Amino acid sequence: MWLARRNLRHEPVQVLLTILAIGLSVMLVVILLGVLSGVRRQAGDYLAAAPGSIVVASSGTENFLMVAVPLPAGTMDRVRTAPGVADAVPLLSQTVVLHLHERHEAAFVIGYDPGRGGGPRNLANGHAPERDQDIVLGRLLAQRHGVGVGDQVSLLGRTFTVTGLSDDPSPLMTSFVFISKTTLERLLLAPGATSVLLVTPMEGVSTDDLREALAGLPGVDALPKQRVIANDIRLFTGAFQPVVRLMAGLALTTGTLVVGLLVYTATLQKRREYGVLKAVGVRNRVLYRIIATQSLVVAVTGSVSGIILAGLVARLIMAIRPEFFIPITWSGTVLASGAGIVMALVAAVAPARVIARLAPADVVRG
Amino acid sequence: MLRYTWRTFIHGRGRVALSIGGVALAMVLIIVLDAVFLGAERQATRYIDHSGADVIVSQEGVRTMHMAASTLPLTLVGPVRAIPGVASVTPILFASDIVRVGEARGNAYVVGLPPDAATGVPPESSAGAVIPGPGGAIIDQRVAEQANLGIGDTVTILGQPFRIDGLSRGTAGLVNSVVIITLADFASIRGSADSASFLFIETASGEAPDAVAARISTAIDGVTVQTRAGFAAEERALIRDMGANIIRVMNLLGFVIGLAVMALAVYLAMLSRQREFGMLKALGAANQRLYRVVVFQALASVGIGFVVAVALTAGLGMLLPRIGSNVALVLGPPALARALLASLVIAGLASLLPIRRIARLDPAMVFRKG
Repeated sequence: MWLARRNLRHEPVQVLLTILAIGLSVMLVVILLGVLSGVRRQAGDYLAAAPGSIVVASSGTENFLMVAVPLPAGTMDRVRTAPGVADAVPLLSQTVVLHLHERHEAAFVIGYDPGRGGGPRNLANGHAPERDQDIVLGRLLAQRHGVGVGDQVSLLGRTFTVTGLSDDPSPLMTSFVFISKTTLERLLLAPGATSVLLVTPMEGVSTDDLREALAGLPGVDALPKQRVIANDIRLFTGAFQPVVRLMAGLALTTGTLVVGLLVYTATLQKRREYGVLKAVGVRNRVLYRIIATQSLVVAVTGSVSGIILAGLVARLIMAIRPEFFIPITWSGTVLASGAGIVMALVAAVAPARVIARLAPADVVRG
Repeated sequence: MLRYTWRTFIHGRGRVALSIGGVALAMVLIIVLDAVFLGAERQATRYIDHSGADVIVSQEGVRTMHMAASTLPLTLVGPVRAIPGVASVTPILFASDIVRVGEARGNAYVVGLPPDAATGVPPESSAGAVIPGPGGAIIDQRVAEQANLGIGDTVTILGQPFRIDGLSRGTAGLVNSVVIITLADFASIRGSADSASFLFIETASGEAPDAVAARISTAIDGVTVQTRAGFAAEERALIRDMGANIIRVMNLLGFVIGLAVMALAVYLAMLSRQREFGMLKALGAANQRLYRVVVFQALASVGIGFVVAVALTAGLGMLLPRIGSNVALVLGPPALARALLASLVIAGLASLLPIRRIARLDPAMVFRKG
């Protein structure tokens, strides 16, 4: 295998460029998987931290972030008076588009009752909505548009005063906005409407038992909060996954071609040496191993560099664009490393064909 | 010299193919995300583009359907209908919902249409009814096919079971699909019998949509009035704005990968011709002339790579719908111009490394055994 190492050491610049190109391809894959993982965590973060362990929604509703049908009238009273219920927090949610500085900002408006909970958890500035015209914006959204506490923004044709900025994470490309529930009811021309109730069981009452009891109420489903979070995550990643798969596939194919290009060129450059080895009786299998070793060394080094690079670049992206949350996960790095090894083996095919076709007599020709 | 440059460039088909393949794929990485978002923009506005509505009225401050909610009192229909230039008013109810089709769940624009809707029907029907009956729904053909469902089967919309009355074509996209039910069913499920989400307006023959929109805007308070073109432009701008940051980051990463791949390809091409460059130097060729060879080869790699990248993306765009993917790739001139500019910069930068090596190349090496 010393021959493989020697071949690689012979042209350090080209080996370094190849490692860089593979590293960048692997980096892109790790970052894409990180973005997907970030989307997963962000999509479920608000509900995970909200009160309660059961979500009561209108029959057939399985998500929190995209509730199209409000609860039947009277559900709130029925749930609150049901045995075993310690608390039921009503929320009215709606997707909206804010127009700020000629830009469209998609947001989830959470209408909540300030006395019952479900509002912003991490206020970076100011205070939660107290009056009808009060609104709390996500801090990152506000920063992007130079909006601060005391400024005014328009929502569904009505002017609100920003009373606070929240640091609660929101799904990528969107933001959470908090106003009082009664105000949102008026804006949606839906007095008394409630999207979901977040129910907390009394001490000693199991979530499953209470869920079964609440499921008997008319026109509603009672779902474990964790399942609703999982459905929201699926909803958000569903749109991203095909794009991430497409880009990751392109990045890995690019990496494979780059390793192939290096090993192919190196093989052509050492054609004479391989011819000599063949002439003295070295079998093709041994020569294939040399090529595979070259590919593997370069691909593994490139993959490791790519993973390290991904960690650094992810931090840089999050520092420049804080709306991105890109955790570098074990599964992502293992997947990318595995892909690196597959890349190496696939890339060795073209040079191996050159060796197989090489006639020992070539060595004596000019 | 040009002939020599071209001949040396195409010599060694395997290396050239790998090198151009690598460059092309790196460029695809630069252009594909733009193409994905442009495709999503087109998909998102297809329903509106073909809705037949010339003017769309929504709640004040609401300019899109995507990610939006709009509520208007149904009592507006009469006054809007009475405005000169208005030929028909179709009130529709709208919500984004998670629709269950077989085992699959997908995001959908659910539109409630009256039975006599003059506008708002899906652009193309592939089977069954165009407007559903009570308890019925029109869903996209591809969505139905993916779940192995057809006319008469049951889907869950707004949490309730609906019978598939018809299949539409071209109404499914990356983000969602369009589902049509009756206005009455929608209102009964949502408990919103006295409201609509949008008013779809058909203008009278010879009336300019802009003029009619302005008249409605003046006559009715508390609404946003847009022409169909204006509404669709807002939808596209929303998707563009939502994706802008991702596109910028990914384009930058694609550019850096393209740069590295290109630099490698040009460097390897130069390396494999090192002896020939030495020979040319020994025969008196000036460094400048050899630099031109390298730059030409870099430009040729990038130029061919760019063409292959565009062809690959277009090919992918045709392939993806055939294998059941909802990703639509649309190549837009601005994105292509950006990619071409990036490619030229990449080619220039990628030439720097071999140029340094050529400058240091010893003509005597050609006479050494190697």
